[in-house]
Amino acid sequence: MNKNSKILIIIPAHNEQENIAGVVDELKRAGFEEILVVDDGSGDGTRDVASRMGVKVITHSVNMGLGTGLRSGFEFAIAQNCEYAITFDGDGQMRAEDAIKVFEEAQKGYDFVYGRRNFTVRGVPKIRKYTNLLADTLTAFLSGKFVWDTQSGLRCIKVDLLRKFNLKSRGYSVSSELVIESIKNGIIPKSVKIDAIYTIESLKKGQKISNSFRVVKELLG
Amino acid sequence: MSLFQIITLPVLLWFGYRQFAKFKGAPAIKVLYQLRWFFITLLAVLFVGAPEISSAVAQKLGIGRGVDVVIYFALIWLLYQNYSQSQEIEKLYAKLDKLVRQIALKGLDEEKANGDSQQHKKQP
Repeated sequence: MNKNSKILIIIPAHNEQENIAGVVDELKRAGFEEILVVDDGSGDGTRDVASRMGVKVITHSVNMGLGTGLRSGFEFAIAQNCEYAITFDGDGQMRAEDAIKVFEEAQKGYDFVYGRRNFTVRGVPKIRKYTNLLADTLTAFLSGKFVWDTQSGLRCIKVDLLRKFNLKSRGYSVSSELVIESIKNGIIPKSVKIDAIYTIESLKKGQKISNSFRVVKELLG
Repeated sequence: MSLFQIITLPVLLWFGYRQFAKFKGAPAIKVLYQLRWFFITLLAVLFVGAPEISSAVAQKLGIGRGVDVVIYFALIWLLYQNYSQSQEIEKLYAKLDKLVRQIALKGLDEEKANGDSQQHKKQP
C-alpha cells in the first residue's frame, strides 16, 4: 500500500459495541493509520470502545442514519485535506484486505472504486440479492447508467471528487446518491470483486425490503 | 333533527368552544392560526346543521349530492395539509441533520484543542 497518500477510513457505526473493536483492529493490522468512527447516536458503548482503540471518533447526539454519518465523515476528510476517503462498515461484514484492494485499484487512476459483493456464494439470503437489484435498478433510472451493487458499503473515493458532491441523504439512500453524484460528475464507479460476509448482526441491520422503499422515497425527494 | 346531527353537533360545538377559548390572551399570530381552525369548524357546523346549504353548493358546482361536495373538499384539504406537514417535517429534519453534524465536528475540534493544550502543559 502506498503510504504517501493520505487516506481516511470512515466507519459509520450505530450500536456496534460488539464489533467495532475487531473492525478497527483488523484495519490497523492491515496498515491503515487514519481511522474515523462516526458514532451515530449509539445507545451502547460504541464511542467508548472506539476511543479506547485510539482512533478519532465523531459523535452524533441523536441517531440520524447512514447518510448523515457518512456526510460527517466526508466533511472531516475534506477538512483534513485527505486524498482518499474509504468507507467501511462497522458490523464486521467486510475484510480489511478488501479495503486495500479498492484503494490499490483507486491508485491506478480511478476516482471512485467500490467493492462489488459476490452474491453467488452460499449463505447470502435471496431477499438481499433482490433488494439490492431493486436499488441498483432505481439508481440506474436516476443516474442513467447501470451500476451493480450500488448499496455496497466499501468504497474508496478521491476527496477531490467528494468536494464536488452535493449530498443530501440521511439514510440508506446515500449509497445510491453517491453513485448518482459520481456519474453526474462524469465518473462511473469502478468495481472490484469482494466477498460478502453475512453475520447475524449485519442481517439484522442491512438492506431490508422496507429499507428499499425508504431508499426510493428518499431518492424521489 | 336527525340522530347524526344530535351526535355530531354537540361535538363540533364543543370543539369550536375550545378554539374560541384559546383566543383569549393569545398572540396575534396564534389568533390567526386558531381562527383558521375555528372557521373550518364553523363550516362543519353549517354543513351538518343545515345540509341544504351543501346541496345548494353541490348544484351550483355540478356535483350530484351535497355530501359529495363535503367529501371532495375535505379530501383536497387533507391532501394539502399532509403535503405541507411533510414539507415542514423535511425542513426540520434538514435543520436537525445540519445541527447534529456541526455539533459532532465541533466536538472533535474541541477534543483536539484540549489534547494539544494538555501536551503543551506537560512540556517543561
